[in-house]
This record gives sequence, structure tokens and C-alpha cells, in this order.
Amino acid sequence: MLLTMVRGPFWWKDFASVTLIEPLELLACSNCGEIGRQPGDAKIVDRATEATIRALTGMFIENIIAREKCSQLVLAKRVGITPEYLSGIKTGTRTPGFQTYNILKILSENASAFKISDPQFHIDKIIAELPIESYHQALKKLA
Amino acid sequence: MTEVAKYPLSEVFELIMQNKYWFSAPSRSSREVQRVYATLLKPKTDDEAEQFVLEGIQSLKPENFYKRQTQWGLVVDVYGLIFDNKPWFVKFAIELDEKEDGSMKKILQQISFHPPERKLVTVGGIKL
Repeated sequence: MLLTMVRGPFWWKDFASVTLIEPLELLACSNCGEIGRQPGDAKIVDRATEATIRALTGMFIENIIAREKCSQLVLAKRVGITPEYLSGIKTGTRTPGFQTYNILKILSENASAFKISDPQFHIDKIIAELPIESYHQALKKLA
Repeated sequence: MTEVAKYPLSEVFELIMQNKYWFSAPSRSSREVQRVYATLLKPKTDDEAEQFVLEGIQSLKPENFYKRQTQWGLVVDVYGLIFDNKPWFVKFAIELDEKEDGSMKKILQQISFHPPERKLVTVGGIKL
């Protein structure tokens, strides 16, 4: 085991693979890369991992708003979260779950994904192509 | 003759209380706990997983002992445990580590804590 700079990947709750923005100095096996942990190391890793998730999430949100020139309210609706929650993860006071993080990452990286996330996107075409029987079948299931 | 543990549990618990432990391979302990709980949709952070492992070890009783084993020339104690309603294979050793000033200190090391990979029956008859 050698003291070396490590970026992960680390777990953080439902994030199974987080690569740190800033590497941490930890003991790691020079052969297999396995990271050894002394008391307190897990807390340090957790803090760094959560900070990375928060920083990246804020960056994704800023990218989307700047590119799409949309309000936080519109973006919150696209992602399916409350505007308050979006504001919290934008300012880095809250940590999103993996699904919210991943949706924001996709919307940030892909402009066409943002267009697709519009609830009205292609809906007329989908309705026109939907066989009327399957619509009635779906209604029956709901009844 | 029934085999007995090499390392007294009281000493193991004391080392944990004094933060004298070392996870040399998280992939065989805390990461396994994270993997198990991720599949149960109750995900744990690194720290939560590590605390879970330590609490699991602290819940061990003599009847949980399974056998001694030699690993890389070191004797390790193996236990079988039901903890949080789940079966766990637990393994550890107490080693002497040299401090910077040349003195020696005992450390709980070689910690494994993961779902059992084969059936085992502890000396107290606990079947995993």
C-alpha cells in the first residue's frame, strides 16, 4: 500500500461510480489499485464524493439554463422535481439522487435531449399513430 | 476438540472502540455491504457501510465462530453472522504494526465482511 492521489471511483448511496473532481491522498495498492482505509478515511471519501456530485449537478443546471435560456421552473418541470428542490441542488445545498443527477447530466450534454424532454414533443404524432383500440384498452385498465 | 478463536472478541471490540482498525480491502467488506444494500434500494455511503461492518463485528458472540484459517502466513478467525436479518461471512486478524517511533501497536486487520460464498455452520450451530 502506497500513499497516492486517488480519484476513485467511489460509491455514494445510489451512485455506484463517482470519479472525484479533486483527487484524495489515500493508501492504495500499487499492484491492484485497491484503496485501503484507516479510521476516518470513509468520512473523508464521503465528503469528497458528495462535494463532487453537488458541484457537477450545479454545473449541469447552469449549462442547461444558459444554453436553453429557460427558467428554473421550466427545467424543474422537465426533470420532474419541485423548483425548490432544483434551487437547492443548483446552489449546492442539497445532493440529488442518482436519477435526478443523471437526467440533468443528459440534458446538459445533449441539446436534443432537452427538446425531447418537452412534454409536448412529438405528442401529436404519437397520438395520431396510437391505435384507437389500445387507447380504449388503456382506459379500461385504469377504470 | 472444538476449535477456538485465536483473537478474543473482547480485544477485537476494544480495538474498534479505540479506532485501531484498518480496512486493507474494502472490496471484500464495505463495498460488498454497499453492493448488497444498493440492490435492496437502501444505498449506503462509504462511511455508513464501514460503520455497518464495525457494528456487525461488534455484535459477534462466541457461538458465531466458525474456524481459524491461515492466510498469507497469518492466522485469521472466521465467523458466520446473521446481522440486519442477513447472513454474513466475517473474517479478521489482529496484527502488530510498527509505529514511526519504533514501538508496536495492535491493529484489527484483514477485515472481510460479505455474504457467504458457501454454506457454513458455526460452532454454536448457526447455519448460513
